[in-house]
Amino acid sequence: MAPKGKSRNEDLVQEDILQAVVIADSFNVRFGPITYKKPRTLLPLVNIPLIEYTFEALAASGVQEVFVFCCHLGDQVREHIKKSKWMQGGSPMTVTTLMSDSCLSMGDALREIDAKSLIRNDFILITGDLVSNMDISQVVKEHKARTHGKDKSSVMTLVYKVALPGHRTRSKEDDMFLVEEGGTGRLLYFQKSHDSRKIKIPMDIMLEHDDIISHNDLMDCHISVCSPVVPTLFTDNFDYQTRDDFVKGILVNEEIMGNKIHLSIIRDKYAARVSNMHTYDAISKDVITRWTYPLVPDLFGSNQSERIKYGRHNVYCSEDVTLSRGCELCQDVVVGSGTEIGSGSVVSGCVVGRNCKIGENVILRNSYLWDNVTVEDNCEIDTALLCSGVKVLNNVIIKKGVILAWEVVVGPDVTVPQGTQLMSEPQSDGFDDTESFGEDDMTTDNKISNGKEDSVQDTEKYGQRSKAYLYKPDVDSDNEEEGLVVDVTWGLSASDSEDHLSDNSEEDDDDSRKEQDVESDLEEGEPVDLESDDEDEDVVDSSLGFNPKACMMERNSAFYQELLDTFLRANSDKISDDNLILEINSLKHAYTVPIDQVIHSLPSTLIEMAAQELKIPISAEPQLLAAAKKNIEQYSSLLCYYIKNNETKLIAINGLGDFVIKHKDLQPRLPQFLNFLYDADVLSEQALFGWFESSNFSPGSNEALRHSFLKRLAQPFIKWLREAEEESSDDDDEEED
Amino acid sequence: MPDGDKTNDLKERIALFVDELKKGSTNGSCDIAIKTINLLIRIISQAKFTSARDLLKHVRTEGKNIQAGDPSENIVGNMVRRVLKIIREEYRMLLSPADESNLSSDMQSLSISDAGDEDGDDYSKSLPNLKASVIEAVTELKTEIEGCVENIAALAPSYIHKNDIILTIGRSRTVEAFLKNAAFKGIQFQVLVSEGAPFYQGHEMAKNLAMAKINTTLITECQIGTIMPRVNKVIIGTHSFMANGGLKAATGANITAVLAKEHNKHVIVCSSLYKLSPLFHTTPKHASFNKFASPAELLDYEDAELLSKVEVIAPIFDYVPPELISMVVSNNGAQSVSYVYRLVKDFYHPDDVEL
Repeated sequence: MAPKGKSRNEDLVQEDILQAVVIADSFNVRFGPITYKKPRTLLPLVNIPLIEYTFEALAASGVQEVFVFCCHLGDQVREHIKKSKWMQGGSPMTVTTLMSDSCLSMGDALREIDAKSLIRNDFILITGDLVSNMDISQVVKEHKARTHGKDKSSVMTLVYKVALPGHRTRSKEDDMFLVEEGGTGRLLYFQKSHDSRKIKIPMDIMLEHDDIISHNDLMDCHISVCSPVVPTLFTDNFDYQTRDDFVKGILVNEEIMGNKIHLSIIRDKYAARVSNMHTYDAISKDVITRWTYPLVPDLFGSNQSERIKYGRHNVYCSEDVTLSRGCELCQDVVVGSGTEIGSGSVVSGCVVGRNCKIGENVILRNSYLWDNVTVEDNCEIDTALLCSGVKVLNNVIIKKGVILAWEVVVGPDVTVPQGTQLMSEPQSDGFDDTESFGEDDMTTDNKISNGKEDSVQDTEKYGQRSKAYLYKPDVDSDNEEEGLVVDVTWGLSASDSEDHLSDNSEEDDDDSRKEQDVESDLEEGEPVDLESDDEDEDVVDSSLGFNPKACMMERNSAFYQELLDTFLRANSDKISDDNLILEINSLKHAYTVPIDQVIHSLPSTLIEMAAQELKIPISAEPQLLAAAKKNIEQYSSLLCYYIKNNETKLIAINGLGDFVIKHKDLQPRLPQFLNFLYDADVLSEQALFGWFESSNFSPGSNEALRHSFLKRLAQPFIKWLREAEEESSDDDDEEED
Repeated sequence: MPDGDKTNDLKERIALFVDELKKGSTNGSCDIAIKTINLLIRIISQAKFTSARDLLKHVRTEGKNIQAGDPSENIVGNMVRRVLKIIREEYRMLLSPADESNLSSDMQSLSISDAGDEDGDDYSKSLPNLKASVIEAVTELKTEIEGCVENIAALAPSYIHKNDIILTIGRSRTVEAFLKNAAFKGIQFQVLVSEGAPFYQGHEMAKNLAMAKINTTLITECQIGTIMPRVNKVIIGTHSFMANGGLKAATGANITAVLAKEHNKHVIVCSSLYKLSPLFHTTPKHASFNKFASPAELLDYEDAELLSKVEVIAPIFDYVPPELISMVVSNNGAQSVSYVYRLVKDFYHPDDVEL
């Protein structure tokens, strides 16, 4: 039957062939130490690589042609596909891999696809880490019916699944709020809701539509059915990085472009994307509890070489598993072929890969063990992820949220603290930018010695025979959609995670140093003139109690001066805000400064500008304050343009902080400045509280001292703000209702 | 070259069928049986073998692969075993043509002892005509299977009487044909169809019956108990038969049969004989008796709080013990359940029970 079907498809090629684009890269590092060796799409979910689920979903939907777009470690994806059944004769679809090293976002990928003009028809756009049992072709049909019918301007249909807030599979990053037009399913408004507790619906939506449905009960499946015009739209708008940018762009420009986006909501079928550790955990559980039927281990996971049997309480065992007498597989367990489990061991809620060896009296709970993992006797592992080749030696206790990357060895007789992420080799270049290391007072030599120190310390901490190096996530400030997502470490509740941060820093200063690096990385500008500052490095300003130079953002003074001049000129020539933004942007490019530094400089520029206008030195004169206030008000919309989300707000506050540290006279005035920014709606309460309470500094470090210093300064304002908020909260509640 | 093409083609076909089984996208048990037999015919016709023993081995391994697609789909295994039995029979026939063959094979299957060992035959002799005659016999089997439903339906007038009230659950193609044929013969009767939650195949059944102008009422599962006293007989279909006469039937069949027993109503099972499996529902190596669907049918996925606290089991099949069944109507006529073991002996060689 297969060959006949194929030739029929070839006849139809010109007419109607269902195409799909799979983006096999996440363009982020949510999986931290794991994805540096293997792309996310090849990570096993319940012992099967994620991309297989995606392909299966596409094949079940009758897709005939698939383009897989790979970037990071694309060779591995390509190899995998080459060996998979999709490249063999009986495959119902043709799979083409496209490689690109230059792509940094989904937008880039679609632009490339547009350049190659591969798309001839409506197509399905999904990520390579999707698990779904729905028939996407139904959505394609809906979309076609719309585009051929009355809504020709519909360019995209997004698939959402109903899942109430707090659902385990809802990714926190993807929490969003939608407004849909009743009856037509047209998307009217889209807002990622993670950064605000309040939801604003534009008034005109209310005025223009009689019937709207607002949704907070949806989870994004990351399946979109696109018209062939979508890649072109991405090309036309080179600033679209992600699908969310696209959706927002389309909605904003709806009147001009006339393009529309529609929704399709599924209830009974399953579709979800593995976007971080939380969802990895949740989706694994969904697979084990058979929500993804028929993509369940006993059917989907069985093949010629491996048969998986399904037993009571969702226990799946390969036929050649060796279970010793007295070991217990409680509930929701998957055990891969060739695995041995010793007597007295208790396994519950776990996925154990192939050829693993679990010793005696081991307790495994809610953990994921990939292939060839060895766990020796008397270990206790709770809510952890152990990649392939990991060895856990005797008597090791692994606490919640731990990730042990490829081939890590820990033990014997140690406890791995909560939320630790370990790699088998020192974190080095090629994976994340080492610039962050040079930040403090370390020269290259220091860095190396520091590395050695790490390994020595690690042996103490992770056991005599360990091979483990701490991994610290690189907070990627240039990262797409989300600002500061409050992403609680996997497996921990919010309160746990705070505890863990504080214990961590008490336990080891090595850890804290790294955290400090992370922090400075966040604020990192161009590390200019490090050497010239060297002599000042150790100077601790007695009045401040810490070394101001060490923690301030490196600023490009030429850029700063030019920025100031631009503002002065703009003020005298009455240049409009839009033009000023253009000028600032061109300055940013001319001096190649990152956007963070622009934001960092903006508030202080406005204050300094006030001083220059009045031709007085920067001091605490009342007229200076008034002028600064006036400036901030005047440029509030410009500030808002740059300072949009929580992350940029934090940078702006820190910028202001650095400014007052430099100008001692202004130190008591910090609350006023913050108030000006707050009154101008540049800073929100939430951002201010967030800054005030941010605690991820290591005690004793420069950052921590600086922060506590600034906190002391800002204390009165924050106090006032708290009181104001409490007063107004009652009203707010009523409004929200 | 063409040979290589053919083997590849066969592999593709097998892979495709296995995939279909895995996804459950097959269309009724008869379809599965026919598809399996078609594949087996191809496997046999392409097989290169010198002796029947090689052929048996080859068919067995291929059959095992196909069965692995869905271990709970007994029909695939049944068909493989039937074909194995045919190979054995054909071998014997060719070896000793026409001599008291009928009688002896009957005698053999009646005796408990292992038929294969009896004459020390290890199927190693080379017989040139074996392939052709096996294929012919398997094709006959296929024709037989294709005619099963009609044969059963033809028996309907003997079991359905005027003004009967008949209860059935879910949807079975065989039962549907059976009832339709009775109606076609001009018998007036009433059918109550229980909807077969959570898959609601009963809806389709009721619709089809109503279209055939049968007085049909759709009831929910929970009404079965209250309606049972008014029912004359229960007619159900089944997914397959176990060797002891027990049924592997859609969920709800067991409770219906228990209720019927309680009220002393007959339970008639309409089933083709290809559904008869030589396995018992407790056979240890028989990978999985049951099949479990997605809990989506039973619980809303969106309910975050409940989801993490409950374990939802959605079995597709029920086991109905043989003592609850009054009669089996098959394509060979009506049989008592206690006679099923005899049919198993007829259809399957004891050596083939374990694939």
